[in-house]
Amino acid sequence: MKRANVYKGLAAAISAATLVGVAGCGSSNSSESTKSSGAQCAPYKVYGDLSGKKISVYTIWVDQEGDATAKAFSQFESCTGAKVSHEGSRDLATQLPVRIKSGSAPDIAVLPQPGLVKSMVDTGKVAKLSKDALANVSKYYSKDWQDYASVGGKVVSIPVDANAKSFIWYSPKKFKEKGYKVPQTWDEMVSLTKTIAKDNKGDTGVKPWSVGLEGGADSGWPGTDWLEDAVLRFTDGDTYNQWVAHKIPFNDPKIVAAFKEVGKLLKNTDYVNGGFGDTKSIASTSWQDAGNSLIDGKGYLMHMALFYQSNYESSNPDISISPDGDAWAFPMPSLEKDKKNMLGGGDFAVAFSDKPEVQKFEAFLASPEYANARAKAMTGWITANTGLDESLLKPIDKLAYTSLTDKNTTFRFDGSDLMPAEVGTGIFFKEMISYFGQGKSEQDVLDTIEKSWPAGK
Amino acid sequence: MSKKLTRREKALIRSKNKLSSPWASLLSIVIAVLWTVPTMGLLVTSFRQNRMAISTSGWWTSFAPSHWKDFGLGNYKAVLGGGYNLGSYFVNSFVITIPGVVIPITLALLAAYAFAWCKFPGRNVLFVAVFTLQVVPVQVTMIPLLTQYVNWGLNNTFWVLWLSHTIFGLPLAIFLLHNFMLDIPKELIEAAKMDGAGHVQIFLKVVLPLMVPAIASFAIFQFLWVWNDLLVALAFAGNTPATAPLTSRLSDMVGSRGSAWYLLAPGAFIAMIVPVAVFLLLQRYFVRGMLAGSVKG
Repeated sequence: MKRANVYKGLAAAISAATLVGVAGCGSSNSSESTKSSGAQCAPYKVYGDLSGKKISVYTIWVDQEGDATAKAFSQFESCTGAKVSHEGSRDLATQLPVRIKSGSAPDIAVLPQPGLVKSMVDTGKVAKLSKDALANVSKYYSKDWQDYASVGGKVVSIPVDANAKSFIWYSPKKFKEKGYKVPQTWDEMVSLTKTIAKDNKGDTGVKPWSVGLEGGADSGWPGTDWLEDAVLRFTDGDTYNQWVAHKIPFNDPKIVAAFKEVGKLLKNTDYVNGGFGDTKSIASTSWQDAGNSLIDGKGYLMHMALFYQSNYESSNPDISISPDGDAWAFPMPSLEKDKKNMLGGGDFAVAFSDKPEVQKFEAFLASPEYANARAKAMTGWITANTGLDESLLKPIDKLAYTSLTDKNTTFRFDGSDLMPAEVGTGIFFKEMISYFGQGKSEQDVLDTIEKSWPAGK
Repeated sequence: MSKKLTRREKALIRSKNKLSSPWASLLSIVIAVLWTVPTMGLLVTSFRQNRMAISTSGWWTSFAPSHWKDFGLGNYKAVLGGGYNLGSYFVNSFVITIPGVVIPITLALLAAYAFAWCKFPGRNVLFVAVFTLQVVPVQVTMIPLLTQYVNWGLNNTFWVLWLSHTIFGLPLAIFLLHNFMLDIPKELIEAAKMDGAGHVQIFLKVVLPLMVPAIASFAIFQFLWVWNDLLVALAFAGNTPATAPLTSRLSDMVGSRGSAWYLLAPGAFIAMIVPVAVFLLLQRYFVRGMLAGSVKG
């Protein structure tokens, strides 16, 4: 009796699975896109008729950002008739090399770091960008960004989005309450720090700065941003470039001096770590949580990229992000008031195919049409594409966008993204953790990284 | 039939007495509690909807009456209603898992029968070879396997997952089922042979019914492994709604920059429902299967 039941169950399970399996397989390629025309399609005429063509795009964007990306492609699909299949994965950096080696590379992949672009080019599988795409890149991107998109002096990728990192988050409401002013120079920032520390002397839980370095496998990166920002401010743009390219040693005295300026703020227990504990807690606090103390009033300042806005939005939808709301950001000041320095990063699209439809799609990715479609699809996103329609951006994104495109700003790419991966996402991250967690000295940290720099890179 | 107890039976009785002493019970309760605490924490966290509170205080602090207002179904609502489309990923997971369990068990049963009851030259060498295949790590096989799948035009379909899980599951399945099968008394098989049964009949009518506990216990292992798999699915089938299992949806739920971390706890519990149900349904077989063969004097 029982046995018969087990058999029946098994049989039912197998047949159910087969049925569903067949249905699942069948539905995957049933959605042929239909071509439409009209006024909206005017800018897409240049791409011609791509009916029935398929383009696969592999990116690091998942969830809402993934959906927004797919949405940004939809106009291209409906106007040209091509079918763009988007696949996002947070594990792209490990999965893509596997796919390339096994011969199933996507047509287009979006890579999170220029360093990764270079290593993909080194595999020899990256296709040259089409003439149209190159024309768009040189038309809509600044010289700096064209350089970031290049390997060996040739543009090989398209900077499809960007982020601005040299910002200090604060709470305008709390600042107004206490009468604090947004600092315009580094010295003003230091004296603001002192004032906040003095005002909260009795309260051990409240500190001027909130810092968090923990972030899973990427723990440490907010620390590298701190150091890079200090190097950019206490030396100059050229020294920064030499340092990142390892033309001067990683532990050059100038870098040590800049690092010590960071230490003056973050190694002082009177100044950190608002809402979390002492200096050591910086290493164990998650960067996603660090900003919460600004809202609680346990911390006043946090150095963090503008994409942090999505953390506020998801931690509490009531937090208003505006110049007089609960949270806002100001650019990290430089030594002098009129000097502006900005660090940023971005994602780069490379092609693994030279099919005509893929070449057209490359041109689209570098065009203002893509930038605007993506900006419309979801906020919290910017690009370095100068063709972007600023009116589509919400205030905080506009702040980031202007800082990227402002001609008076010295823009530098996030150094850890440009360094060889062993350093940029390896020892540099780890050493920033030990700097706080184990109380290593500035000199020690820089010496260790210098020693581990891979030979010949 | 009063015969002297064998050494083995004495040992069994001794260990039974030891295991049922109150101290042993206490110890096992302590271990069980310690083991469950993190899961408890995850469960509590999944119901805390004040995200500020989660990130600044431990879950154990939330039992204080002043924190009771933090509890609610908000996170579950966000996971189930937030356009995450979990239903279709559940279906994908079933489509991947059921054949991923049935195929290796079917093949392994046949192989184990042959290894146990058919005499053929090189049997032992072959069995050792299959057994040693267990030490090959999955990661090593990724590129060669995927290359093969791409050549066959199978990548990004369910086929690659069924094949891969079968490949990775077979060595252990054959090994385990073979050992269970050897425990079936030789006399039974011989009696069946005397009655004129061939291998097919012996397999279907004698061996298979006796193997149900063993099959069930291995099915649980394989089910959990395939259901919880993320690596194989990501590498071979891609992360698209057409083939991606629940695990990859779960890992993406946090968002590109991990800002929606609070969805992970409820997501994990929703994904856990199926394996727990399978385990509860099959657990009596599981225990029997584990003991099968170990208590015969």
